[in-house]
Amino acid sequence: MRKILLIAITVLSALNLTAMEIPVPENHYLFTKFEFERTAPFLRNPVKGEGIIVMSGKDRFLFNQIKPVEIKIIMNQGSVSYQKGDAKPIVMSGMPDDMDNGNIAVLFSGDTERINEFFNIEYKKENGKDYFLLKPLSDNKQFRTVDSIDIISSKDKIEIIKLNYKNRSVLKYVFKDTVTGIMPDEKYFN
Amino acid sequence: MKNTLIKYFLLFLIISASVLILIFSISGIEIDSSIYSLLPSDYNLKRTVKLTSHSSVSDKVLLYISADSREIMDSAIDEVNSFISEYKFLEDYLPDGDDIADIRSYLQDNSLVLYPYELMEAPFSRESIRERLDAKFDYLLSSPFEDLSESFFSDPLNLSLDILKMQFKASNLFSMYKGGVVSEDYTAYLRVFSSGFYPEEYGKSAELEKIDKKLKEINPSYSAFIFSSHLYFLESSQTIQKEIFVIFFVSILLTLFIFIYFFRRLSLLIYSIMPILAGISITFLAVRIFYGRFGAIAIAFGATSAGICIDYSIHYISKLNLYTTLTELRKKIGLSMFMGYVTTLISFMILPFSGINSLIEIAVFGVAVLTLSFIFSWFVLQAFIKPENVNYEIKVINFTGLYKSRFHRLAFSVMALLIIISVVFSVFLKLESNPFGLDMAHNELDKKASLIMENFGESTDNVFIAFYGNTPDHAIESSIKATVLLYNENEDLLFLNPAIFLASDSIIKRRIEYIKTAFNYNYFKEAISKSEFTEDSFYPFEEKYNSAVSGEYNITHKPSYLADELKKSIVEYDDKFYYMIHIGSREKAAGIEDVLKKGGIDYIAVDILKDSAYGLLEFEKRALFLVVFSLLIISFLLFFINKKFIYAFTSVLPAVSGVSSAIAAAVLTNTPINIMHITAFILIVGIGVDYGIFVSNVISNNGNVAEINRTIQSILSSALTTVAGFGVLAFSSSRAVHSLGISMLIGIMTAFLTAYIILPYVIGNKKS
Repeated sequence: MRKILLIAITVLSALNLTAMEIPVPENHYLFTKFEFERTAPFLRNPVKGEGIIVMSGKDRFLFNQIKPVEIKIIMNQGSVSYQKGDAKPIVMSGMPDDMDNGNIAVLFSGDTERINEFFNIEYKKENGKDYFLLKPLSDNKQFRTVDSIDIISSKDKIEIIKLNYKNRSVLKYVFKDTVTGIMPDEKYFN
Repeated sequence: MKNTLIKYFLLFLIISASVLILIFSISGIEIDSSIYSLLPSDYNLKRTVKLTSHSSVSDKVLLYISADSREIMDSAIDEVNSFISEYKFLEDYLPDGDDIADIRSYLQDNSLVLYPYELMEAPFSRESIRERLDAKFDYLLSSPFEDLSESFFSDPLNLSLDILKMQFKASNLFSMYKGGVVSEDYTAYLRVFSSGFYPEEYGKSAELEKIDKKLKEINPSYSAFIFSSHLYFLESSQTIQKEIFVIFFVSILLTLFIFIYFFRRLSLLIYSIMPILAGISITFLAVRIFYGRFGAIAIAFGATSAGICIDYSIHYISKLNLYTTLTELRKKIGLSMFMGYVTTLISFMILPFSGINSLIEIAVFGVAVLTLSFIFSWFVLQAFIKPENVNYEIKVINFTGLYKSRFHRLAFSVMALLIIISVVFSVFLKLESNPFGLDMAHNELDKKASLIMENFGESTDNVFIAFYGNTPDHAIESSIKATVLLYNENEDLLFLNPAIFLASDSIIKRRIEYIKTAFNYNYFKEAISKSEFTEDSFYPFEEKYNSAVSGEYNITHKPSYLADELKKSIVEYDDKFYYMIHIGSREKAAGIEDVLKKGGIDYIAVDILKDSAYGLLEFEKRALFLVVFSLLIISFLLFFINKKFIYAFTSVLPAVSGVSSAIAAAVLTNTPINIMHITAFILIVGIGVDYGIFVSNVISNNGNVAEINRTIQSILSSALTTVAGFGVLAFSSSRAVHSLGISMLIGIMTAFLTAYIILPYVIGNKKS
């Protein structure tokens, strides 16, 4: 689960990028829809799905995959919960704890210096778009199965995040209808 | 003049040397204040004490925080955990994120041989394989960021999740939060540490006490404390050590005050304490040399033995100016003094038959101090001051006045009635079956235990099920058989068993044999071809299957967390290995035993309360019998020496009345009789018989008024000094020591009153 959150936070923090820094959404407010596709040598057919991501402040975010299976990963004031469908949520270790270990909340916090402890970040600008290539550092246990992470954005809006795994599987997120700087509806965290 | 100076110099030398030896000896003795030393040493109990005190639970330390709101709780946890992190010897007991990831990978990698086919539903039917593969795909869809390492592909049938679910059933799950667990409303937090040392290591336990004190001072907006069995042991040890010093000084001061009141001369006082100091100091020296470590109860006894030993000085000095020569004095009271010494010795020598360490130590201490004090009193004190060179008067109270007055009959009747009532009440005595009834009350610690239980719902009964075998593997195998049995009979009785994750080689071999016959490779390939996974997705699993079938399977590295937990849970005792599983609830343990008895599994229930109760009761019955037996031996001895029944009867009567009054007091206060009460009874017998011998002797030998007064006065001063020495123990917070003190207080005073009021009436009437 820690891995899940780490990567989730990578995705989240990538939604507001500027230059070499992994950006943070304005006021830490964000709402976006996504569609994803996973392709892998071990899958006969790609797996597709969709969902939303919501952030409201530094210590509240929601990753809600709606299809193909509904899951919610919610971080709320230090605790992280995972819920599948209507099942009872499973609460896990608190984020600030892990922040001390420098993984999950690092990306979420937008602390570039700490993020650089885990990733080597390459950046280029091309045709008006920002291209980021994150490569996990060799001693990084959390991302040991990840080969690289590609992030493409235009100004302050993320368009694509692509996770490339060492086993040649790819998980690609395409974002749309992204809104930053405006506090999302509280209903997402109730 | 020269002789007087030499005498004073020698006296000074003896007393100074005794004090120095005493200080040197006490400083080098390690004190054992565990109440286990007070329990009968039958095999079962010894084993229980060893297993319990060295189990994986006994070094646990709990950190508890309570706060009014979640916000305060969050900052409290961060603040306290930051403070605790400075203490490196406290290691997290619960697995952290890395440990859990490690365990998860291990289970997935080895799921094929770790899955307990012997107890769970067979996963290899055509339908089951298909369902499990579908569930695997569903799992992939539900975990978008799952670590798709080789471990994931080693477990196509999700067998590892079933193993985890089975163990989850056995535990009460709380939300893992910031290194610990938190209550649903976030107002209580608990974190578990391993300290790496056991409760008897008092020096290290003192560090835990310091941490607990500092926690109280960190922040008033929340409350935090440390809780562990170490603190119980430490509190008992510290309390009794403080009390020993206080008891020692108070008893010495009281003894000296009583002495000065009756004898009024400082020089007599100094002469009198010389045999006591010499006796006690040499005894402590011997303890330091030959033992090194001694029980606190015996040390406490040692601190108060001044009250018994001073009797020899008192009896001697009381009669000094009644006779003209030492020879004449020794003729008159020598036999009585010697018989008094012998009968007291007999009562101590009964104690080792109990087999209880503390009582053996008290016996060793008592015999040594008494004998040395008697020798110093007879050969040194009597050389220093003799009738020939005494020219002083001591305060003499007219005790015989009562015998001539009409109140004697009334006093006799009242006293006789009280004795009879005491004897009747004694019949209703109850015996103590709870060994913790001997310890002090730990009110603060018990409150903390209740708070933890209230918020986290866990009972803190110190109960284990221990599976045993000639090797650790045998013991572990028994535990797995037990888990199988409980799973089939009553899942609610399942316990957390790390051995399920660490099956022995023999169990794995059996499972591989099962897999060879039960697993249908074709079904598996067929199910994959119809699933969303490609044909070679689960190549790592297929490799493991092939190596298992060809006899080359090797378990991948075992997670260090599980291996450590298992190792700590195995205790060796008497050439057997015991795998200790903490159950924590007597009710659940009883339910588990009901199931295990049907299964022919090698196990024992380890419950110190239950295991000591039977032995304790048996011992107490035996010890009470020994008290009565010692009275009979003493009576017989006295009859044998004096050839008069009445003499034997009156000599033991004060002891009988003393013991029965002490028992009656316990019955009236609804206090069960414990080992220390019985120790007091034995001492009352020895001392009470002294009083009986002295009074019977002087009256039946037609002693004059002065001799009778001096005799009564000497036994009164003896009684008061004994009470001064032991009575202060009645104020101890240790229930064991308190029992000794209060019984001695009541018993000795009753023995004296019996000797003073009853005996002269009986002997006098008999003569007339």
